[in-house]
Amino acid sequence: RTSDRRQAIDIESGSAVYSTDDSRPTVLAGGVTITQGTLRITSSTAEITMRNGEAVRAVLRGGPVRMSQQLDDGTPMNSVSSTADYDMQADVVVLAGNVSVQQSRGSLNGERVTYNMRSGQVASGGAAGGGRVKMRILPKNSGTP
Amino acid sequence: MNWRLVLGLVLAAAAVAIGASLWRQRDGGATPQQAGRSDYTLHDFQLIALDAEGRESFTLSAPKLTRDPSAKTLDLATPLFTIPPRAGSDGKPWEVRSKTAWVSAKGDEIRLRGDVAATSIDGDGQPIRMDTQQLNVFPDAKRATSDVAVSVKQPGLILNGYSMDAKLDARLVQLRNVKARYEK
Repeated sequence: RTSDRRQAIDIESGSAVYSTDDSRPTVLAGGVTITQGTLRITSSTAEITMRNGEAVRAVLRGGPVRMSQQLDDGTPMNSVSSTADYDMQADVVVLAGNVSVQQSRGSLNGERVTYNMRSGQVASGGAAGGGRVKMRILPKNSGTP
Repeated sequence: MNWRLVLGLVLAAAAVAIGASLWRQRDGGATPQQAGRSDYTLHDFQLIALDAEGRESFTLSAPKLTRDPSAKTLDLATPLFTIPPRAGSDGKPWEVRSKTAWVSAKGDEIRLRGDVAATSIDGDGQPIRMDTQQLNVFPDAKRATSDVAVSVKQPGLILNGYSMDAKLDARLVQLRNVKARYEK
């Protein structure tokens, strides 16, 4: 949801090496879970960059990285990828490596996908910087004959 | 019975008795510690401890200090420790308070217990605070550890965890079983 980005970010992890100043990111390992409103991301490791007391970027790796969020229309968005690079100021997540994005409208697979949380827009392939894309768009009322 | 033999036996018994008595008193009787008393007590003092090279290791002020004469350790009530950054580093001093504290004989380990609060300023001028019930500080190594729950706070962030190992000068804090909240 667009309101997610005004929520606090809660993080749980097995361990953390926290740097008290902004020059180095805080490194989280041992299984990481990040929640922010309806947004939920799980991964093996994460690096959180702070600037002036605010988290500005989270780079998540491994595991794979699983992300889920509820869109403003109430429908869910789920993704799986090798890495996720979350720019918390621009509200954009770049998913890379065996990316699979599932939405109610259909699914999308590729090597690199950019997901804009403000608009809910998903860009992939050339638009996202690389790789071929496979997309499946489900018919409007796929349930009735 | 031959009186010389009797006399010899009596003298031998006396010698044994004297020897035993001397042996019992060899450590000069009960030391102050055994008598449960420190050998000196300070009130409302400030102490500057120096390391092996003569540099300030830490500054300590407290309303009361008692010294254990045999172990040569210090016991403190509501102390305030100030730990300077390593010479030449851009670190800032740490202030550490607690209900009680114990300082090792060489002054290279400080055990703080009860409502421990450590505060400092980070490289960006932001305040940082650690709260816990137990903190072990190694002033010369500029390091602090804790085996119990620790909460680290900075503007915009609360970090809770266990098994802390903090490098005070490098301003790096390692924790396990972490829960963090970043405020927007």
